[in-house]
Amino acid sequence: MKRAIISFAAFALVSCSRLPKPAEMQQFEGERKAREGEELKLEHPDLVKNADAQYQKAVQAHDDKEKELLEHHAHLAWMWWQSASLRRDTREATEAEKDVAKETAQLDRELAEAKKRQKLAKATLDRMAQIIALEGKVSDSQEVNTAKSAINEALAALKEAQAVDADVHASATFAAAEAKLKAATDSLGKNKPKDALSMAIDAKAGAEAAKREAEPKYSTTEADQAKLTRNKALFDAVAGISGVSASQVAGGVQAAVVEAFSSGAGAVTIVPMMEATFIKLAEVAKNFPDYGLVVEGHTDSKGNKTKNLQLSDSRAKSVSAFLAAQGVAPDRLTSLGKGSAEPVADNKTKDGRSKNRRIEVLFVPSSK
Amino acid sequence: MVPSRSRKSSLGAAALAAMLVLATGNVAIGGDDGGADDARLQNLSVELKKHEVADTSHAATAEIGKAEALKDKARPMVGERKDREALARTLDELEATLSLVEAKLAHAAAKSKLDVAKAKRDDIKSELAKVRTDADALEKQQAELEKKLGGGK
Repeated sequence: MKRAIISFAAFALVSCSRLPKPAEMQQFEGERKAREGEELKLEHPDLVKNADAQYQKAVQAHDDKEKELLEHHAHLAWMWWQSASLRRDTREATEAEKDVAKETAQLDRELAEAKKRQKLAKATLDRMAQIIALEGKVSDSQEVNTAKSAINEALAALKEAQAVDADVHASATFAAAEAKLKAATDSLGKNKPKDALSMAIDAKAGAEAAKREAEPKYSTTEADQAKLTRNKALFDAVAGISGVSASQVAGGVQAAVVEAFSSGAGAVTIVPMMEATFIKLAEVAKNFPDYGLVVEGHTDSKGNKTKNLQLSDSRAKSVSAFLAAQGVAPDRLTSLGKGSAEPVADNKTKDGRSKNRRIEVLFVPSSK
Repeated sequence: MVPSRSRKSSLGAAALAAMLVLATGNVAIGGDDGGADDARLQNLSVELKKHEVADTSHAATAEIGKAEALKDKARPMVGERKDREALARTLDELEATLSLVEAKLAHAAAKSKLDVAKAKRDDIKSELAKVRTDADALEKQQAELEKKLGGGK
């Protein structure tokens, strides 16, 4: 009897004892329950769905004490999970690379500035060295002092000219002025202060002419470069908004948003799902206050043309009002209804019509 | 008791029916499901080949090796009724492994691009520091000389 009881107890113990969960299963459970787990599900629903399905099978195998199946499904759940995690890491690395590229572009600009400073200082020092070398070699007469003073003025004029890249944009004039300054210094070294004075005056005049010649080109180059950089930064900001298709167009940057309104005829209120997109667009607009915004409404070709035109106008106004409510200055906003006149896709297909029902926000550099 | 002739014909009919059932059964199982498994294995094999070619940086060598072994394990099981469950599990594992391989390759490529971008940025940063230091020193020197010459602006 006693033996029977012991046997029964041993049997019961073995039957009730649970299989240990594999490490991969425990790791999956830990990561899946975390907040990041839900975020990963939103980012890669299919992969996480596969992982969850395999995990459920693993749980079943665990309950059934099927060790081999448990390990198999736990392993598969973990692999699908890792697959999703790595894809998220890939996205993050790609975003980080874009940030690093932006930082590099900024550093490149700073490097160009620093190199320009270095070049200017070096050139000025070289010219000064020639003058310093004369110290003690020439007499200290009135004429010599006048010539020295003129040479210093020419030196300063050359420095100012080079600061606006006259050595690049007015290279011939600048080189001639520089040669005159050298000749003036040489003349002074040969105790010919009159010649030196005359050449120094010419050098100064030449440097000033080179500066005048270079300035317009220098300003244009700087302004063009600044404009391009600003447009690119705006494009990057707009392209980074989910739900927006960004493009660089003549005169600015265009953001297109499709299906921003409910499908009900005449609906002019932005659907809640798309509000976040317009909130982000408003943020970008606020970060780029030097751009005006033209909000255009477009419809597909279904229905009456006049009604479509009115609807697109109402929708454009609705978006403008929404952007204004988010803090975009109303005087920067212009709204236009284009109806079905400017389709971007085939109105014969459902997909094409969906693309045509859109709001376009054009960022145009402000002339103010 | 069934007459002998009648019994013979009954047996013959039963045997014929059994053969038909078996034959159609085989066709149904081996033809439909076996065909689907075969197609799935083919697709996964093609995917594996693509990954093998793409893995120039050996980012997923171990997983590709494992996928190869799973593919080899699955091949003889295709069309074998008794191995149906084992085949399904092997193909499931192969599919998950290939998804992981794809993710690893993409991640390695993105990481490599990020590393290159970071290295470029660091090079420029270091050059900028040098050029700035040099420019500062030259400008300081220039200011001193300007004082000495008593002229320059």
